[in-house]
Amino acid sequence: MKTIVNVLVAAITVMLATACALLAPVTVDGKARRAAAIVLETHAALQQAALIYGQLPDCAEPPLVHMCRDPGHWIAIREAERHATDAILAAVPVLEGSAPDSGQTLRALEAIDAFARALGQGRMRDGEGRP
Amino acid sequence: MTRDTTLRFLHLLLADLPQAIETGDQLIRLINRTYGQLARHGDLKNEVTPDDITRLLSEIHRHHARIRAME
Repeated sequence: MKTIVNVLVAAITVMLATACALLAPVTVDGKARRAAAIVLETHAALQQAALIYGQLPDCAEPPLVHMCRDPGHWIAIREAERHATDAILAAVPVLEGSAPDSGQTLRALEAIDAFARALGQGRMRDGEGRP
Repeated sequence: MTRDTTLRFLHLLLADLPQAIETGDQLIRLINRTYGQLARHGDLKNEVTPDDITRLLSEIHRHHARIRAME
């Protein structure tokens, strides 16, 4: 799980950096759409990670399984996902190039980043309990 | 991150997969998807259409509903 999330976070970092670079000149439809696609695909990939985490068995003491779901962490992930999805939906017209940007894209990227960090905190906690 | 680096990550990833987990199929799909994203956007050559955006939004809505529905 640790390596999986590492790969995911690395991939998402690349995509977010690319999206930030592309979001500057959103006057061209093609570039705006590409930026939108990167942001949306990033979020969809994080959602898949959240779905996987959500299907893990609850953590027990002592640990019964190699990977488990911490209830508090799961709540934080779900909240971060909800916030990011809301921010993305608010930014869609801007990302599509059909509306001016008044901070929606930045808020969406920040929310996605917070979502990724929420997942990453689970990775760190998983690592703490392992030999 | 270059394509070669990504492949090395994926090899590590596959080597580290637990032997038996309930969500194994999902993990493989996630790996494939992660690599697919890098392949599509890493070189920034592909055209993105409005239909792609619509499809992605639909996918996000679907995932969001599933996450909301989970306890």
